[in-house]
Amino acid sequence: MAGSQQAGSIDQAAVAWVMAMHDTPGDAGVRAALAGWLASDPAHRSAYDEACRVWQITGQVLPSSADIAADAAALPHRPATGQA
Amino acid sequence: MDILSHPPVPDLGGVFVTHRARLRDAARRILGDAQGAEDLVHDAYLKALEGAAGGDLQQPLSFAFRMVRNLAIDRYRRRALESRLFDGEEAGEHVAAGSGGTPESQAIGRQELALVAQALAELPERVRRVFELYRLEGHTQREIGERFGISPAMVNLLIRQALDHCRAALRRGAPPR
Repeated sequence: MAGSQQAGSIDQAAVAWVMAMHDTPGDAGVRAALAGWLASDPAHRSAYDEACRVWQITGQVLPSSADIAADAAALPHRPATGQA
Repeated sequence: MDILSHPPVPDLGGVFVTHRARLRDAARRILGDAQGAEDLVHDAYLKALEGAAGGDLQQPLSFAFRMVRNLAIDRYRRRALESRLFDGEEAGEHVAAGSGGTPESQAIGRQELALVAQALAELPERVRRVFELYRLEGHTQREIGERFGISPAMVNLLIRQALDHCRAALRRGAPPR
């Protein structure tokens, strides 16, 4: 029980790391901290790999709503051409 | 008082220069790679220069973000479509996202995609929208919180819930690799 509880919290930490990498893509401090976390336990690495995989797949699913279409409509590809 | 009746045209191009790093981060959150984000912001900048003369922009910064996001989403979708076409069913190659690697570098099987699509569809509409704004549209947790009138901590929780749900679905559905 304690074991699976711990696995659960490692999974959660892994998700938090993936989100942190997404939030601050170029942040060297975050990267270094992540590298340390990954190196500290093999279970961290596999949990992180799995979380990355989940993350990557969610990026391939098409969005549900028309919201994006509405956003796109609000912004013409060629912004207000007006008079040339 | 009406000395300023013709305020200077808000400088959209200048916004791109001043906020380049932030715009690049926004693009990178959507595209997942630094070079692509750099190129994209540059393209958006050129577009902005093209269009700025006739533009009546009250909020040049948010306009710039919108422009970058929309362009990034377009480009991301095109890539996603291409990778789905070309990666085939079960490209087994497992490139671990190493320390410092972005989480974007593995081929995806059709079945995994279906499992995750299903899992996301099971989420309450609002949770799914929050997740999409974050994952697909490059919005920050804070921006999403403002949009929905909830705290950033709640946004964070909802995003984690969505990801946990997807992971559970993959674990249940996929044979061990």
